[in-house]
This record gives sequence, C-alpha cells and structure tokens, in this order.
Amino acid sequence: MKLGRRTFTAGLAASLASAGLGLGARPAAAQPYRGPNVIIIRFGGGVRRRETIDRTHTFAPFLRHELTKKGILIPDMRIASLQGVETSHAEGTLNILAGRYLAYRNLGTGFPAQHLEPTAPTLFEYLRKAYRIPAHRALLINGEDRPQEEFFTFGVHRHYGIAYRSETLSLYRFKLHKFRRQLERGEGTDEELAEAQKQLSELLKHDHRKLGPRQTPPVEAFWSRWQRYFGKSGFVNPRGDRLLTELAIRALKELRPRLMMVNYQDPDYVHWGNPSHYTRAIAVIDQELRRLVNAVELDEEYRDQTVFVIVPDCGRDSNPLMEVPYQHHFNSRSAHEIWALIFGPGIARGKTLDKVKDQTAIAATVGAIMGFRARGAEGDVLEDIFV
Amino acid sequence: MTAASPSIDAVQPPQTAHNPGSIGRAFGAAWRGLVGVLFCLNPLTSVAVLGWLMRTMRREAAIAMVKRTVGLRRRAVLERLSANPPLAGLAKPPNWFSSGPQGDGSRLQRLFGGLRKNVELGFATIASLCVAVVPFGLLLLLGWWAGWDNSFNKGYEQAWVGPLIAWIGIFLALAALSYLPMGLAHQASEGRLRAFFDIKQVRALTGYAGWRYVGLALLYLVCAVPIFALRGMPVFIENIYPGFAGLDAEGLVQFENRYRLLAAIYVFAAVVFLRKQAARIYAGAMLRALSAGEGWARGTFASRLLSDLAVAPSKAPVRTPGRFKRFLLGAARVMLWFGVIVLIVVGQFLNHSWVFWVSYPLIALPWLP
Repeated sequence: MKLGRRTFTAGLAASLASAGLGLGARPAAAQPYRGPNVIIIRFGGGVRRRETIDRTHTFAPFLRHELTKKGILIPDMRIASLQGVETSHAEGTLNILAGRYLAYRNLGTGFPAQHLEPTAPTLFEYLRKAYRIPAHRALLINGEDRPQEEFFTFGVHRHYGIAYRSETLSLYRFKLHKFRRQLERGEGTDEELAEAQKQLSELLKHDHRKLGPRQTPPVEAFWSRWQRYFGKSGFVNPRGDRLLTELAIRALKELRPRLMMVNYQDPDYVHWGNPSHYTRAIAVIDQELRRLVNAVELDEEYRDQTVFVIVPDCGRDSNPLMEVPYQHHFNSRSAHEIWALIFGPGIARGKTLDKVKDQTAIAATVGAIMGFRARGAEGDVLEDIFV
Repeated sequence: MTAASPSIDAVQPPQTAHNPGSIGRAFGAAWRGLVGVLFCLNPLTSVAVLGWLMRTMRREAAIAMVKRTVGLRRRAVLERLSANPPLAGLAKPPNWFSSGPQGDGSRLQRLFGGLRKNVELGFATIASLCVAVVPFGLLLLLGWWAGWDNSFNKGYEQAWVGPLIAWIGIFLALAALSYLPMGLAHQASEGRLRAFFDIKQVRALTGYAGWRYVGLALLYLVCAVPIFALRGMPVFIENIYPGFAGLDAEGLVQFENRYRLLAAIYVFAAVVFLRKQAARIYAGAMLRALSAGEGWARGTFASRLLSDLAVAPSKAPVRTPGRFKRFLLGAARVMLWFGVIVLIVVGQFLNHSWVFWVSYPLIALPWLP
C-alpha cells in the first residue's frame, strides 16, 4: 500500500496519541495468525427466541431453516441474573466481547446514552496481543444510532488496552474522516469550513476517551474509497442495518479482517411501540445474514475458513399485560433468555445443544476457535460445539 | 338526545316521597360505584359511564348553583329540589339502569330507562369528543407513527414530517383540552349536544371561572399521574411482583383481572371527581355570568333553575378579567395541560397502545386500554 504524507502523519499521530494515553505502545506480537476467521453477529438490539429461532414463529427463515443446518444451535443461552447485570445492548455487547459480566464502567454520561467503557480486555485485544494482526483486521462494525458503542474497541487493562485495540467502521467514523479531511484540505467556503468544524466538534463530544478523529491509514483509505463511491451526502449509501452489511462486505474485500463483530440493532425500534418495526428488522437482519454468508462463500480466503457466531445482545420482555409484550427488555426473565448459533470449520453441523449455556461463554469459545485464551472471561468454552 | 331537549333528566320522575337514610345513601353510593367500576372495565360499557357522568355533572352543577345562590347546605338544597316537582329528578343521583320507581312507560322502560338515557347521552358525549379530542389524538398518533417509522427507515429527507404533525397535534390538543371540561359541563348542564359548540359562551364562562379553571387543569394533571403509573406498572411488573414470570396461564388471567379492576376503580373514581369539580366550577362561572347580566345566559338551564326555585343570582358587581389576567390564566392552563400531554407521550413510550392516543381515560372513554 502506498502511504501518502497525510496518512503517514495520521498514523504517526495515532501512535503518539496511544503513547500519550499512557497505555503503552504495542509490543511486537509473537507470531502471525493462521487460524480461522471469526465473524460475530450481534443479533441485536434485543430479540426473543420466539421471533428468531422458534421454527413456527420465526421472522428469520434463513437463520432458522438454513443456517441451523450448517452449525450448532444453542437454544437456551442465558444472561445470568446477577445483581447489577442489565439486559441491554451495550452491556450485552460487552458480555460477548469481554466474556464477563459487569466488566465496564460508565464514563460519567447519563440516560439515555450511557457511554460504557470496558474494564476488561476485549476479544480484539486478546487476539492482537497473541498474534501479529493489525488493528484494521480486527473490526467492530457499528450502527448509526448508537455512537455510545463506538468505543468498545479496547478495555482499560494494564496488560492490554489501546495498543491492541480494534478499528471501528460506522457512519460516525466516516463523518470523522470526512470533516477532518475537509478541514485539513480547506475544502469549501469559510461558512462550510466553520460548519465542518462545528460538526466535527459535535461528533467528538461522544469521544469520552479523547482518542481523536484519526483512524489508521488503511481505514482512512477505506473511507476515501467509500466517499468516492457513495459520495458524502449520506443519502446514497444503504441505511439502517443494511448499512452494517455493506460496511462488513466492503471490509471483507478491502481490509481482510480476521475477527469482525457486526452490531445489528434495528429490532430495538419496537421500544416506540410499533411491532412491525421489530419483526421487519429481524427479517432484514436475516436477509443481511444471507448477503454476508454469500460474500464469505464467494471469497476463497474466507470460504471454509470462517466461523460465524450469531448471538443476541439481550432478549426482550414477554409481558402479557402489555399490548406489545416485547416492547422493552427491562431485566425481565425473558430478557435474559437468548440463544446462539455457531457454524463454520471445526464446528458440529445440524445439531442442537440442549444445555443451558451462558452468554459469557462466547468470548472463551471464540478464543478457543482462534487459538488464544480469553483469560478474563468468566464463561467456559463451549466444548460441545466442536467436531 | 335531541338538539332542543329541555331536560337531561326528563325520564327521571319526581321522587319527593322517597328519602333514604344514611345507610340507604351509603348503599346507593356503593352500588353506583360498583356498577361504574364494572362498566369502566370495557370500552363498550364505558359509553354508558360517559352518559351517566353527564347526568351527574348536570345534577352537581344545579346543586352548586342553588347552594351558592341561597347559601344553603347541600342537604337543604337537595330537599328544596325534591320539593319542586320539575326539579325533583336532580335531587337523586342518576340511576345506572332504572328510570326510578315511578317512571313513565312500560315496565321494561322503567327497568332500563336509566340505562337507555346513559347510553344515549354517552353517544352524544362521544360526538363532542369526536370533534374535540379525536382530531388531536389522531394527529399525535400519526406524528408518533410517522416519526418513528421514518426513523426506522432512515428517511432523512422527510425527517421533519413526523415532528411537524406531532407539534400540530400538541397545539391543537392544548386548545381543545383548555376548552373541553367547560364545554362538556355546558353540554351536560344545558342537556343538548349543540351546547358543547357554544364557543362564545364557553369561552366567556372560562373567563368567569378564573383561577378555578386553572385549578381544574392542575387537578387533571395530578389525576393523570396515577394513570401514567398504571400504564407503566406492567413494564416493571417482574420487579414489583417477583413471582410474575412464574405464573401459569390461570394465574396470569387472575393477575390481569386484578390489574384491570384496580385500573377501573381508579379511572372511575378520578373521572367522577374531575367531572364533579368541572360542574362546580361551571356553576360558579355561570352564576357570575348571570350576575354580570350576560344576554346569552338568559334562557340557559341555570337561569331556568333559579327561576323555578324563585331565587335570583347575586347582584354584586362582577369584575371581568383584563387582557393581562386572561393571558396569565391561559398560559397557566396551557402549561398544565402540556404536562398532561407529556405524561401521555412518555406513557406511550413505556407501554404503547394505538387506542390510547385517541381515548385517554380522563378525557374520552373512562376505560384504560
């Protein structure tokens, strides 16, 4: 890859910023990674078993009728009912990524958009510490409605942290790239530049860890290509959860991630009371899963080399007293009830694991698949899923 | 109800002979409460409650007018009404079912004349509510739907549509809700549907009511808080009642029935309280209008009532509120009603129901969706 002056400067600044945060520069990793790729699909934000894996009531037919044949379904996965454990999106995502409950702290932001910071290493950090994998090959794909989840790329831990972080792809990151580049190049009138500065400042208000607008050079290049293709208006690119698939598929081609987490989220719109938003969003994720699986199968380097781990961040209520029983996910028993589907090389095919399993087992299991130990994970490796 | 109906309680005959004691009155109140609560459990039967409330408001307004004019205690007023054959029907609370022991017509008519009246008046009230409440309710519903549907579909280009509809709905709601209690009291008192649309008179009465009408808006806001809590309670039911998730189907039905009953008890008690307060405030305002010599007040039910009882409204001078005071009163009312709307909207976030947008229990059908 040819590095331009600006991308070089950006990379240098990011490295200095890392050092400046006191989290240490990344030491040389021990070995190159030769294991399978892993794509974690967060089937969020919050879905019940009934509308997803229930054979009769599913709105995700591809998942239920086709993908289950490719791997192993764990229909009774749960989020533990512990003091302080919340059944919500950020919390559930961190349960998956860190393999621990309550492994986060609030960065002082309040309702409705709490910014949680992981306090334990994430899967990205375990992977990048164990293997020589650059940040842009450990990716978090995030939606446009939840900027507070942009910063799950690393935890606060003295042996891990920012040196082993992942990169994030999202419209938030694209806007950072767009405005920063516009300001650097001085593109536009004074008013346009002032507006760009204002927008950039607004975006950076979400950046409670003060990481700044710069991303690694390959990711900046990714965004430049994205802008050339979709323009910068935001009106051309796919929207909602379809955007995440577009980012993921482009990332597969351009950034070649070894570990990627795609945070689907749109079923959560049912908070506002329209049940069709929930069922429709599940159906959309199902279609997007098909696109993603097809994209993997069409790529020689990913075909038969990629394990998919599909798991909801949390369940939803099943409240018979409400007109929309699944409107929320407020720590009810049903909100603790999730599931998981895992398929790919080395994983049992067409099976159902009829045992109660815990959401924190995902991190330990991904570690086992990729050949590292997620030391901080509380859950056990799902031994039963392997061939 | 006909447009020119002279009396809302025409089917209720004089009851001068029957005067129950305190036990009888308590039994009667319990019976009325029980039937009212049961009727509030279902949207269809709650129509009869709407009609019954109109009859109750008329009676309450009449009692309040007489009480204030002649300075008697409530019991003395009731005795005076009982002694006056054309007004004796107002001395007793309206019946749910029968038209009274000495009602006219066939046995069937006597047995169910009261229910028929309640239902007729209920539908007449619904007609008024359809004009005053349903439009803003529909706008709020459409604004909510359009806004969130657009957000779901990420239609940035028309993101303004939902909020615009919602804000139009809110402004309409503020105007309609400021009018509604006085309009309904006027309709109930006059006993004709068209009275609700006597906009000039109702606005004048609102002015004469002064801070009392602001107080009524405050009461609505206070009474809306338990409705908000009742709507929100199911959301957190597993925290409130930890055994809820383990209930079997029968247990769930029993639990839901108890919850519905609790809601109906509150809704019935709240609407009776609010409508009676509205009727009393209306009575005071109407007396002031009569004292002020308002031309439109002559020929109203209030005027006829006082005439039948051979009493005259006070001749004391009535000061009408100035422009600044009217502005203050209006602003205070609007702020309080805005509070009610906020509770409705936040309540919808907690526990959404499409019906709730157009039928809020304290305003429209006395039934919790």
